[in-house]
Amino acid sequence: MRANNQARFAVVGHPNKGKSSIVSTLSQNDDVVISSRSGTTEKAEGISITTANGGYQLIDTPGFQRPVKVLRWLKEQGANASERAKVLAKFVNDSQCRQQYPDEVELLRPIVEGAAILYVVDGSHPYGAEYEAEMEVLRWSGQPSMALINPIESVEYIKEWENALLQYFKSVQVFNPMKADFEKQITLLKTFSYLNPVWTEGLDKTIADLLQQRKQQLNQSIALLSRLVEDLCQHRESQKVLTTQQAQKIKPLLEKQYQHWMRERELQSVKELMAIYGHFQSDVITDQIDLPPDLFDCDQWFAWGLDKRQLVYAATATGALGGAALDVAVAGSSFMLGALGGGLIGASSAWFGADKLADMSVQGLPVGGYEARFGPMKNRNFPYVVIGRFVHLHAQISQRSHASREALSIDANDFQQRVQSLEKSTQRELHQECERLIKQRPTDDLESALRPLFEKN
Amino acid sequence: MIDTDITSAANDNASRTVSMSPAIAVIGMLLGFFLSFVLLNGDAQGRVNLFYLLLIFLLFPVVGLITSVVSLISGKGLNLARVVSKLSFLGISQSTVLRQLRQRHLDKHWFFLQSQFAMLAYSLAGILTLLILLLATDINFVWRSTLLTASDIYPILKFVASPWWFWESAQPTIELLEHTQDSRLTQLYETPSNLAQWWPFILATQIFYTFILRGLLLVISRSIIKRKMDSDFEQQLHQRINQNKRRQPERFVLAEVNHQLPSSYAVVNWSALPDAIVSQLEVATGHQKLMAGPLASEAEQNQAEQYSQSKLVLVKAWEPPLGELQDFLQHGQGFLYPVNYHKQHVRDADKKHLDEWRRFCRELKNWQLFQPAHNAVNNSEIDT
Repeated sequence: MRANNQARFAVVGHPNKGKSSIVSTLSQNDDVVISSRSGTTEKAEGISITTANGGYQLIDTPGFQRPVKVLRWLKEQGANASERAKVLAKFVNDSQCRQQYPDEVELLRPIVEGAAILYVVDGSHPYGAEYEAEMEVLRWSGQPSMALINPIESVEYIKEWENALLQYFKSVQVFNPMKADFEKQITLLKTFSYLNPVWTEGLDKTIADLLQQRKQQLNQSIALLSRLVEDLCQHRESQKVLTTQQAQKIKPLLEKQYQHWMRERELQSVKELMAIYGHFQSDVITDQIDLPPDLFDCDQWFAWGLDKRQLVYAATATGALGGAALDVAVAGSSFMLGALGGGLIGASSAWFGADKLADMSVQGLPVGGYEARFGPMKNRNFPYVVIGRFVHLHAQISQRSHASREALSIDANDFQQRVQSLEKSTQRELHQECERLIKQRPTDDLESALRPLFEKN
Repeated sequence: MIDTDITSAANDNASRTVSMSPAIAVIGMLLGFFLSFVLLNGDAQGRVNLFYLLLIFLLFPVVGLITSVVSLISGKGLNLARVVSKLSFLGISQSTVLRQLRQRHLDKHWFFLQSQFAMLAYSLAGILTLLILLLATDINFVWRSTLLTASDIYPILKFVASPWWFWESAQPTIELLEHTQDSRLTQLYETPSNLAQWWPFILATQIFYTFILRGLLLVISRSIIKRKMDSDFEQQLHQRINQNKRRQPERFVLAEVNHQLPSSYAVVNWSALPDAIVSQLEVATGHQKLMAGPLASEAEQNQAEQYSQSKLVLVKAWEPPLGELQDFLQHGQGFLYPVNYHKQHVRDADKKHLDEWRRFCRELKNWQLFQPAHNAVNNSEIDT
């Protein structure tokens, strides 16, 4: 059952004037089909915008196809002004009309059922008197209405349209759904609340919820970047080999795997960032991140894949554990010398015997060798490159209209300036966190260090 | 594809998060086996100090439990998981899992879960060792104390045994305590068979304070981690991405554009183009003019509809074709001419507008699309 005080807006007008684009933008839903072919929308389709405490409904409708004939039909009913709304309801429910004028019946039905009218025109082409028939039909409904001038290609004829529309509508707004950022959408939503006083409270709550949702989207974006930059800085590809020559041979393969992983990881984050802001239908064009040339390394390894230091740690722990068991067995009368001695024996035997272990083999399998490794990242500039690309993309995506389906591109030329424009203490905090990333240390305050970069948007 | 390698790796890591780390379980099991075996072996007479057993089967697990709970609930102060993640012998995949857990603030939960696995393994090893030794050797449970008497100890043991109140033989009694008190100077036992009667109590201590308790905590911590993993915003984003599949681009079939007209036709001004514009159209001069469309009178409309010869219908290029025009075009044949103009000057129609008319015209039987030769259109782009 529909709540009576929930605002409902039927978006109507000529075909191909941006009705679906407006619905897509205001509902922040890029799943609304926008086509260059007119007549794509054949049925009135309600898109509900549901928030925690409010919500409203936008109804995407087919365009007018036979407004002159419909107006003629209405006039033929001979109704006076007080009966026009009823005549329109009769038109919508008339079976013959449904056959002859399916588009008009579809678009007028939600209006007859109480939806307010958002009438959309294109402000980039001259006004034509042929529009008057459809505006007159809409006027017959007596419903609250507003005209939106959509400057699809230019703003050249906005004034001309404004003059004409004010003859039929109390409120006329210019709104370009392809370029409207979040603030403009909120401004328009605020004007909607004046159309019907019953809806004001619900729409105010909806606006408050949308603003809250916006903050949450920002927080998630920051968390996403934090995870991305840490993953990219710490990732490594490795392969165990027997000789340094083999390590050199597989270097190109490791490099390829490493680059592939880095690229896919960044793309995954981009896709998630777009999902945070509800964009699922757009492509992103990205270049490979520039990787420094000194990422390859080759270290010796010993039993179980451990390097020398790791082997010493493991042997110390094992020796100490064995010694501790002895201590327990003698009920502590050894004064923990068992654990201490066991640890020392384990450590020294691992330290001095590691090289011999590398030459041994068990049933033909070597217990030592080399590890060819690509990564992790040690270049100090790298975290800034990743952060710069992401912040730039975030600025684009967060302000992107959901009607826009063009591909996005990553370009972070202005990032150095953005960092320099931060306060010194904030810069220092960011530098410290990036330094920790490069040194492969856990970063606890990366998100708070990144936040000012997003708030500079 | 983006969501292949990395997402599947993330999912693998997520499942690894709630699974047991073999190394940790082996450490727990070895520790349980060594401690149990060493203590239960006792001295040369097979005497085992009850207090030492309570140390490893009660105190050690309980202190361990308190430590892991404190580690879980305290903020940054005591984070054993962070200590574990810094151990240098962890492999790449383990480090990756621990990093992902830390990013999701789940590292402490993971450590808590693994400590339950470790203590379960410890408990299992202890129980097995006890049962095997009970079968294979004689274990004489005794207790010694300089300061404590049986009546001092009894209430404590009674409290310890309260979870298994229903298990009669595993309950401590004051008589049993008195009969099993040992002194290294006087080794006289009235009834030596009493010395074995502590085994149900020891077994119950292991089962209730380690096995069942840790088992419960394991189930709870697993479900908490799973729930937190599922509610992580990245996980939810993946679900949303999978639900919102990309749409395929549209494909349209377009009509060809003609640049030639027959010698005889009537010009129908459908869109009420101004005379100043019509006069600039070469193809409109010298031909009969008719009016039709939204702004035409009924008589003009009828006349245009009834004209049976070929017609050239002038329309505004930027306006999409409406149903009213489609109705009109059912009465006759000829050409549609989308006209573009700006400030009283005729211009070439934009490609995107022309494409819309080409799509429209493709579906009409008796009508073709016309454009002057200077606005040549690539007819090879019939399918776009």
